[in-house]
This record gives sequence, structure tokens and C-alpha cells, in this order.
Amino acid sequence: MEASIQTPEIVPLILIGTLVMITLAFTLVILYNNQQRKIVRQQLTAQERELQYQQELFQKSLMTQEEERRRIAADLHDEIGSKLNVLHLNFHRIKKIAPENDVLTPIWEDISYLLNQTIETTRRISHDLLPPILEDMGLIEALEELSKQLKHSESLEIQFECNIQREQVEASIVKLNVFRIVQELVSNSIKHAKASNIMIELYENENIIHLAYSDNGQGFDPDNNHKAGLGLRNLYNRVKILNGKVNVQTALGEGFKCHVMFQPFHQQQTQLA
Amino acid sequence: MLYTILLSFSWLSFFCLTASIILYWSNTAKWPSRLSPFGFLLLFSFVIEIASRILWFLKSNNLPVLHIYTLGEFILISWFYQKTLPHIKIYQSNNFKLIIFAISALIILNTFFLQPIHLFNSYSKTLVQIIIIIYSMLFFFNYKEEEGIDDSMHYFYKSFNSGVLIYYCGSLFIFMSSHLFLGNKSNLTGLWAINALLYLIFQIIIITSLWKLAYKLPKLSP
Repeated sequence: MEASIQTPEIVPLILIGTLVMITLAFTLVILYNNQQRKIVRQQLTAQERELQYQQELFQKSLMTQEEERRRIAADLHDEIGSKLNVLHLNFHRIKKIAPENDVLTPIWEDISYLLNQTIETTRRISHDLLPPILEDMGLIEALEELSKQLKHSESLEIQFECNIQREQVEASIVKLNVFRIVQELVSNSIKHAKASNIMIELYENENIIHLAYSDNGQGFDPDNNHKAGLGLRNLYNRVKILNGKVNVQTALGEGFKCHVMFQPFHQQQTQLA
Repeated sequence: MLYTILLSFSWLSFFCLTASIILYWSNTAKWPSRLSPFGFLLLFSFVIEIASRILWFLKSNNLPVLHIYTLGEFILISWFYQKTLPHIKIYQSNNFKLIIFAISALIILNTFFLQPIHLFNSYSKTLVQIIIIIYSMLFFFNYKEEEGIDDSMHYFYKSFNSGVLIYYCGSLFIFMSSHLFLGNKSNLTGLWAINALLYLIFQIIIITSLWKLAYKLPKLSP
């Protein structure tokens, strides 16, 4: 059997060694945990920045798109539209002085028809890109006009109710984005949902502007419909531009409901100031 | 006084170990296969603890149990780290198995020829502790949070490894010099109380991280 050694002087050394090792171990564990937390924080920050960047990029692309539409609508109206009108006028002048002719008359009529169609199409494209009534009169009138057009052309039951002051939706960013939201929702209701009845309400309650939209179409499953999901993404991004919130309710066979809420823009700017 | 504290820590860690065993083996369906070395380590530690306490109650020398425990913990903890860090080449090579075999042979040879079974096996215990500390350090520098593995599992691995480092670093000098203090209880008690406290901390870390893994509680935010 190994003889035990009485070495009391070793005990403090062992104690010091043990404490040093414990301190080193705890220090390493704490440093490791701090490093891990730092990595997680950095990853979260990077993800947030990426998301914010994507959203800013999307919003910028929407605004660029609107600028392009404005420019093309203006060019169509001012350049092409006006020239077509001059062409149409000159054509009628020539027709008046040209002799009646069995061969020429049907050709004149064809040309007249085509010119009228082209002028009408140019006007329609220009108005679809950016309705002049939106700029000249305001959002409420533009939505009323849109409802009337759709009633006639698509034989839809479309109701538009408005209970809001014009000044509350005067800001161009509000006019444009709310109009585009409604335009896109209506387009989807007609083309994809095959709705026959659409309800649009624009009202104010406790200083919050509400846009309530509903249709009786076939609805969709947002989780399983990639294309519809993209359309909703456009909607969410436009609502984000308005600093608003949106609530969408839809399911297959159960129609579509959408509720957008945002503060009037002059109020948002006052709060920011 | 110190002896009472030592006994208290010892019994508390035994209860924690028992709770860990029950928690682990009552949820075997949940655990992935890479956790099996840990399960066997718990079971082995439990059996050793029971044997050690029986011998202590019978006032017999329980150091032979330490020799067996040293061999078992080395093999099981090596297996655990091999399963946890599969992307580290050294763990997957045949050389690693050779090293394990060689060191196991050394531990057995130490028992038969250098430090008999009824004495402290400070040489082999120190060697095993240093190797386990190296495993733990390798983990800190090489562990990758694989995708597809739950956050609570990552938390468990990191917690267990932290417990391993704290316990094996803290008790290194105690076991290294253990053969010097045979028969001298008064010098032993304070140091063994520190060892018992470190072991208790280790067991508490195991039971809490195992609990979170079993019930998938959310991780604390950074």
C-alpha cells in the first residue's frame, strides 16, 4: 500500500490551482455565451436590415412605377392624343372637300372608325394609367367615377359609400395609393374571383380613415395560392406606404374582405414633427 | 461542519442524477440517436453512485468503484463528443478509435501495475480529465448549430459542455493530488467539499437543460 504523505503545504497550492481552474472555466463559459448572444443579435440585426431594405426597395419600385405611369399617361394625352385629334380633324376636312365615290366612301368610313377607335383607346389607356379626375377633383370623385365605369362596362353590382371629408384624403400619396388599392382589388374581384357584387366603403372614425372592401366572389386560400399571395403583398406594401394596417379575410367559396386603416397624413406629419 | 456540507452536496447531486435518469429514460421516444451516449453515461454514473454509497454504508473501501468509473466515463464521454461533433475529422477517423482503445488500456494497466484498485488512480484520472477538458474546448471552438435541429437541443449541448468544463477543470487538481492524501481526512474534507459542490453544479446544469429539452421551453432571448 502506498504510504500517505503529510504535505500540508501542498493543500493551499492545490486550493489555489483549483480556484484558478474554476475561474478559467467560468470565464470561458461566460465569454462563449456572450459571443453566441452577440452572433445571434448580429444575425437578427442583419435579417431586420435585409427585410427593411427589401421593403424600401419595393416601395421605391412602386413609386417609380407611379412616376412612369404618370409620364406615360401625360405623353399619351399630350403628345399622341393631341396629334391624333389633329389628324382626325384634318381627315374630316379632306373628307368634306373630296368628291363622293363608291370606292372611296367605305374606305373613308373605315379610316374614320379606326381613328375614333384609336383616339378612344389612347384616352382610355391614359386614363387607366392615371385618371385625370384623381388629380383634378380628388379621391372621392375618382372612386365614384371608377364605380360608374365598372357598372356600365362589367355589369357589376358595385356600391361605393363615402362618409369622409375631402381634406382628409387630399394628400397625393393618399389619393394615389388608396385609388391603386381599390383599382387592384376590383380588378382581382372581376378577373379572378368572378364576383358579381362589390362593396366599397370609405369612412372616418375617431380620426382613423377606414377603407372597407368586400366582394361575393369565389375567394382563395392565401397559404396555397402563390399568385394571390403576391397580389396581397402589393396591397400590404401600399398600406405600409400609408403607415396603415390591413386585415384580410378570405377563404375558398367565402368571398373576399379587406379592411385598411390609416391616420390622415397631415396628422401623421404633425406627430412626426 | 465541512464534512456535513460535503455529505449534503453529495446527496443533493445524487438526487439530481436520479431525477435526470428518470427524466431521460421516461422520454426515450423524444431523443435523437446522437443523445444515446449521454443516456448511458447517466445510467452508468447512477450505478456507480449506488455501488459507491453501498460500500460507504458498509464502511468498506469504495475506491475500486472510482477505477471502474474512470474507465467508463472516459469511453462514454468520448462517444458522446464523437456523436455531437460529426463534422470534426479526428472524431470520425479510425485513429480516434485506436486512441480510445489505447488510453483505455493505459487506465487498466495503471490499475493493475501502478496504482492498485484499492488506492486512488490519480494518474489515469488526471489523464482522463485532461482529455475531457480538451473535448470540451474542441466543442467550444467547433460546434455548429445545424439546421433542422431544435434550439432546445443546441441549448442542451452547450449547457452540458459548459458543465463538463466547469466540473472537470475545477476537480483536476483535486484528483491529480488525491493519492497524496490517503488516510488524511482533515486535509481531504475541504477539497472534497469543493469537488462535491462542482459535481452538484454539473448535475444541476444537466437536469435543467434536460428538463428544457424534454418540455421544449423557449430559449431565453439574448
